[in-house]
Amino acid sequence: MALQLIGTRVRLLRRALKMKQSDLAQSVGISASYLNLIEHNKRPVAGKLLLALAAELDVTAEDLARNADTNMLERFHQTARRIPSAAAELERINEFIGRFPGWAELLDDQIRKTETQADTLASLSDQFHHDPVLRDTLHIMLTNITAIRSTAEILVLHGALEAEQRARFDANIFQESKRLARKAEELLAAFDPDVTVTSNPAMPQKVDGKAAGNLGDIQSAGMQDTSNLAYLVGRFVPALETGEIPVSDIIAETEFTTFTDTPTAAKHLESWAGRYRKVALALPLDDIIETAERHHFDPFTLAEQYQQDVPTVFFRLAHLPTDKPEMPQFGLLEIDNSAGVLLRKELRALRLPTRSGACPRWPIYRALSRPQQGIMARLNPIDGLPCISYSYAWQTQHHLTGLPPLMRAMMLYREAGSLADKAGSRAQTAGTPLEIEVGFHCAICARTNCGDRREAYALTS
Amino acid sequence: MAAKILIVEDEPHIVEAVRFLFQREGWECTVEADGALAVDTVSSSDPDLIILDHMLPNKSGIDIVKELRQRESSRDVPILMLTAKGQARDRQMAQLAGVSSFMTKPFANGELVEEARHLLADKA
Repeated sequence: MALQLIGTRVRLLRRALKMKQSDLAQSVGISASYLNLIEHNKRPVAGKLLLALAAELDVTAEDLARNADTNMLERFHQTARRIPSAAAELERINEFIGRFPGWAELLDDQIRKTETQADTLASLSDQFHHDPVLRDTLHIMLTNITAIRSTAEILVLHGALEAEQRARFDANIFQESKRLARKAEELLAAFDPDVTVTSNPAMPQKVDGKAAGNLGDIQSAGMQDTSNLAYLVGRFVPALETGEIPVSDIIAETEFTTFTDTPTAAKHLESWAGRYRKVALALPLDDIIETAERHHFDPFTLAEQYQQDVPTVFFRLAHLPTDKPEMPQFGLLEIDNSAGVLLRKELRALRLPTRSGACPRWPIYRALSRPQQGIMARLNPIDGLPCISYSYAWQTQHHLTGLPPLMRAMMLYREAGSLADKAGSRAQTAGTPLEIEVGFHCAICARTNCGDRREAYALTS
Repeated sequence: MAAKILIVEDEPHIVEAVRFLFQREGWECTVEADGALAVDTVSSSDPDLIILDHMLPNKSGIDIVKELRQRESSRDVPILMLTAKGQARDRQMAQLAGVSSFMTKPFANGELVEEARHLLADKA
């Protein structure tokens, strides 16, 4: 209910009793014009007059006065004093509240919210400056960031380092990054008691700079919004290779339930596992390995050989066993037409974005303008190793009349220099593969004279 | 003769990066990680420039500056303070204590080297 001041309440009660203004005025001993001012909240009501009005209107004085929000009035006065330049008409504040109770309540609500936010900010600021834990945590984080930034800048700008020196700097960055992540978690926990600082046992730990576990050279892999599930994409799962065990039973195993800590993660796990099973049945493991070796792991040729669509072959090649050194390891990136990352399996040779777009020069983005046509290209990343990439885009939706279809694109890639490089690809034209100099993201790409740069290099001093 | 720089910093990875940058400039570096020993190390190493962290174990960077400025031998040695405390009052306190220059962490390597070069040139 909208707020009412005493005057407004007097008027409403009088009208409810079908009493004339002049009659009520006379019975309480005031003039009709004075009562009119009261009813328009232009004159205060208190003491004997309040008691007399309450008696005539058949309510208690408390009831008559109960909606007069003195706190609101005080807040309005304080606000007006804080901003004198607004020249708020304080002498008419009662009239304002009485005539526009809804607006008054709205304004009061905004004032209270602003005050609450100001209190929160002041409290946080105070915490930052005086809470020893927060202060020290922030100091340590800034120290970590300083070490990472300076060392990374050296690695980027002073390329000709001795191997031992480079390895030491790499190790320093790794250690500082781990400390920074830990401190960031602690900082978060300091603000939100529901957050607990944990290390995720599902994440592969680095040993001597290499990812451990059965993920081979996979540094990380991902699916958007499912950080835990991230490490499943690209994983070889023998149970999903055949149709003997239902997919639902497989993903109910502890090995997988670790990754389903949210409904979204569970949905993605189900989607990924179902896709894996479907692809595995279409391209059985033994057969695909033999055929792929014969065709030098060229996915476009394999798609033609098996009469399968290219994304199916890409997915298959990204989910092969990792214990066969003679087979190349493939990374995989799947995106939608807004460049949002849907699937992600990263190799050490080329970093992949986790959520959205990377370097616009990457062929996967160019593929979106050339659907259904494979692009094979050799990528020379500024901060990685040369890779052979295969990109392909396709339409996913046709039913929205009048709109262009939604698209998806995939990029399969492997480190260049493997046995598979000895042969060409059908998508490779005139015997020379496309060669593209690429970065990861403009902000961390030191490549100069790049016409496609959309953001300044962050380390430019 | 190569310039001598004393790096008073307790974070070893920052020290390693800064020392790498300075040595590439041909400068000789000495490192001290303990605030309580910094003043003595200044006496023994006689640096041309001191790179000083603000928050050090056992003694703060500000206290070190005050002490150094009271000594005849180190009154004029340029001091570049590196600190994660970048508020105006921290800068003011450092200036009042007698630092020659002040940079907040994280810093750009190029800026650090340039500032060190500038301070060394001023001293010369």
